[in-house]
Amino acid sequence: MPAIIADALRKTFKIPKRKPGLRAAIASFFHKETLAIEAVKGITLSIQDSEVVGFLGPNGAGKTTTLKMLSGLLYPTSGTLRTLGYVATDRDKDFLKSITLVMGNRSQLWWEIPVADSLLLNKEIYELSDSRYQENLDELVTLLEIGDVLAMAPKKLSLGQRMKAELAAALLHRPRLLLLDEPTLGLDVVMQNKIRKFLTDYNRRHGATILLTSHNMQDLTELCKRVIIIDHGSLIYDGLLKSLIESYAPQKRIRIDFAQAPTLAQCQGAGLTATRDGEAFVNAPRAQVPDVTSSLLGRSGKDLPAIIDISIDEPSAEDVIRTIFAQGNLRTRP
Amino acid sequence: MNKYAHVFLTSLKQQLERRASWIMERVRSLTLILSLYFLWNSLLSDPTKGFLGYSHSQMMTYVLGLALLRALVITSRAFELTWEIAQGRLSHLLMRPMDLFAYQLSLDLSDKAVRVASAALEVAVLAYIFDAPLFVAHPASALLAGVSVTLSVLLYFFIGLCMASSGFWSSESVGFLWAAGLLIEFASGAFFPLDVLPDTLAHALRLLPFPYLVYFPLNVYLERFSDAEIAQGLILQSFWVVGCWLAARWIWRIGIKSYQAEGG
Repeated sequence: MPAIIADALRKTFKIPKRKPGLRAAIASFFHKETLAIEAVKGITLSIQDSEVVGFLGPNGAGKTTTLKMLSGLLYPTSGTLRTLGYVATDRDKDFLKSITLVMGNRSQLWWEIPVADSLLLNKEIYELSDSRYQENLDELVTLLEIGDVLAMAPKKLSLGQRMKAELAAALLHRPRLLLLDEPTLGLDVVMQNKIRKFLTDYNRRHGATILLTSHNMQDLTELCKRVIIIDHGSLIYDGLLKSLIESYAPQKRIRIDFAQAPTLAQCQGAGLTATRDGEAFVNAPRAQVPDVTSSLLGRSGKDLPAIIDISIDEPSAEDVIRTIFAQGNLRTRP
Repeated sequence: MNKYAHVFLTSLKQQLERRASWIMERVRSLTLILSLYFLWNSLLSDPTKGFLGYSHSQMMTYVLGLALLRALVITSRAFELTWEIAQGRLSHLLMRPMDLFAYQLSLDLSDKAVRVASAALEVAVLAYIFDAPLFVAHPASALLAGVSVTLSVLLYFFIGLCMASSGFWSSESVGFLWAAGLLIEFASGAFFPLDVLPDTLAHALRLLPFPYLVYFPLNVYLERFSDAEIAQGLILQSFWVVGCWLAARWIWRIGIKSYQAEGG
């Protein structure tokens, strides 16, 4: 059964609108004008159980609004939605016990008392038995390495420690569906890696479905096979990250390391671009990569200096997605 | 342990971390009790004469009782939900399998436990120092007053929930709540007995739920009402509790639909 089925999901917000200046401020005191903003414009998607899906788009694209609708916090203006088979906004007790929503800049921990106390409270709220609580807690403490954090109050923790404690509180009841909004926001590289590794492990161990938004491309490339891209409230891509990169970046880069630097004429003759001493590259269409590579190897030590090493790089997902956002839309919908 | 009992305990732990706030709260509470005590004590300087039907001991008991009821009744964290709504922090509460009202009431009760314990100590010390003439009620009156106070706690809580829901529709409801809070205190008799007011105003206020917060339970204790008045009062008080509870449920059901879960 799909974990999420959304059909023509739409959300319109009414926001206050007024011109600058004192006169407009006085006028708006008596009569407030509102402007309807369509944050999500009819998104249709389906996410299977145990999938890890990256949800991306530029700021204000409607990602967080969609996550909030999927979690039941926001009522869709129109469209149908089933999250784990439930109408999310009904906030059924069993539904709430199966889901978690983590927002990078929101805390559910009690600020001034030890993290362990917040976790104990969640044990009661989620009605976990002592043995289940201990089992889940032990697992989270090990995976997240937060043994030393439990006795400390969140106000005394670093951002990274707090994010890990936040994840522990959000996952203590072992939800089947994780909706994560910027889970690595503001964390250093080491901590980002730990969180990613944790999420991979969690997904593998428990078959949990994970839908995450992130501006950190490494989160997406390491965690998600599938990505959904939305822009201006509309879905513009839903498919494999690999296919997106292939269709969007049809060339691969072949890097060659020479025993000695090739001359300019040698480079031009082989269609190479020299980068630094002894290194050069050539971009080749995917299908022609084997031919180009063997041709280069055939010329090694002849009309080119001897080749020491050769590597074939995919363009980075980050580059591809940055290009897509910069252009504002996808050329083709794969 | 019940989840709401655990919320109560967790909130208690958090409060014990806030010593500075506790001290400031005590200063505020003592200032208020002392000013009311000295004011009424000088107005009733002749202990043989009463005032507005209150004997000296009844009035002094009203003033000291006020300190307790302010701590027990006229405090509610339900009002704080306005900020939680406006800043989108309500989301965490809505995402957990619990009853929001019960959760909030548990927070309230833990708050009240600390405040009442502190206020009771202050009142006892002040009564001892000033040798205050206290009105000792018949146990039955004290019991009825206790029932009424319990209803008052619930009434103020539901009124707080109704008012805090304004945050769903306006981001500027803080000013409204501040003004409304002050009016409620005035209308509840938390500054002075409502008998001080002109008859028409006092009668008009009695049509509202607010006098049932402080004025009514204190006067039940002070035995200033007939049995019939007490019975009628308790029925009306219960009516307001149920009415405000239903109103709060109704408003919140609508409010949550327009909740915008700001931020994050």
